[in-house]
Amino acid sequence: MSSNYERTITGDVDDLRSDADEVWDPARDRLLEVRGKLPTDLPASAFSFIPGADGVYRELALSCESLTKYVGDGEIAMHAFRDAVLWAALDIIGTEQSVQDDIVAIREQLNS
Amino acid sequence: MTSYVNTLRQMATIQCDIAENAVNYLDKNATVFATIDVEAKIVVFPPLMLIRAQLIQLDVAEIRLLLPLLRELIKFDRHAIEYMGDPDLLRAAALELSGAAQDSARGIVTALESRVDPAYFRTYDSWQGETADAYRRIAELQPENLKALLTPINTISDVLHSVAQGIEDFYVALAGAAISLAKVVVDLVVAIIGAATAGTGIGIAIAALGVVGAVMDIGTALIAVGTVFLQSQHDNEDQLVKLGPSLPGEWRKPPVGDGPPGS
Repeated sequence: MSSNYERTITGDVDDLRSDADEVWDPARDRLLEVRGKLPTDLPASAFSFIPGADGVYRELALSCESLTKYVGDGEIAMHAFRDAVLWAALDIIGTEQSVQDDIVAIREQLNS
Repeated sequence: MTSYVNTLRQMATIQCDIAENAVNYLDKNATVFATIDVEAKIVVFPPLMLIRAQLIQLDVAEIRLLLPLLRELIKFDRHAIEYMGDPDLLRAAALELSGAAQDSARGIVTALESRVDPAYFRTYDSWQGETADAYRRIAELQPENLKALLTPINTISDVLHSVAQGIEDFYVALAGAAISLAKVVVDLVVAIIGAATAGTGIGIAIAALGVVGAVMDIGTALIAVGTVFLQSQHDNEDQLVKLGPSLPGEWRKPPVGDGPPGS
């Protein structure tokens, strides 16, 4: 991972970790829920074989595919925000010469 | 499948069986027609979709010429019955979208809108620096990205409801058509049996006219419901086609550091 942080940042480590836990993790989880509710596995037969239904099924499959990708990208983005604040917390701990235990705890949070 | 479409399908199948048995009866007893001496003529104009367009003038004794027309209609009904579909499954998927999925998406929007607001975002005050500024600029964009989900979710849910309703309407019309068909054919059989014993063919002529009228009504009804279904599905298809471009291209991600120096 590239080191694109300035080393002079300041901030409250608890606030940053709180944002990771209370904002970005739940956001990712909820997007995961949304993705799970998308009707990606409906069989063509459910739409009937009445003329006209096949076109709807085809377009619905395409819409769900692009929506699934969009939501999946959103999950990755939410995860990136969460990582960003946790890495920032590590940066702040580093500049404050904080205890090693905090660093280990945040690294565990990052890997969770 | 638990939808009442299945019940309608079974009902239509039974009615087709009844109509087919009645037609077979008429076919097997064709000689009865020749013994009935009645002056009655009817004109048949088969619906275009069901059989070749032609005018047929019938004597009562030739009423069996109606039988191919009825067989075609029964065959058409049986074919349509096989279209099936599963409205219950479509509605369940639609409810998942309009319920749980919509709630989840709205929940994130609400949570993020409040948390990225400078008044509430905890790290706004405590985390300072260029990276923090860049992070916040991008974080503030996220509610809009999430809101973009709401319209497609609603549209897909509406389309699923619409297809489910269209399938049910189709089968209601089909079951109604099958019931009408069975009724008029049975009426014809009854009229012929009555004529054979009472010596009058008026009842046959009336029943035959009933068959002709019903065939035309059934054809018209099926064409109408098919047309409505087709138009409705074109509209649904159009709505889905428009969804693709409505989604933003990508989610911007924040810059990510690599921890304290030397870690």
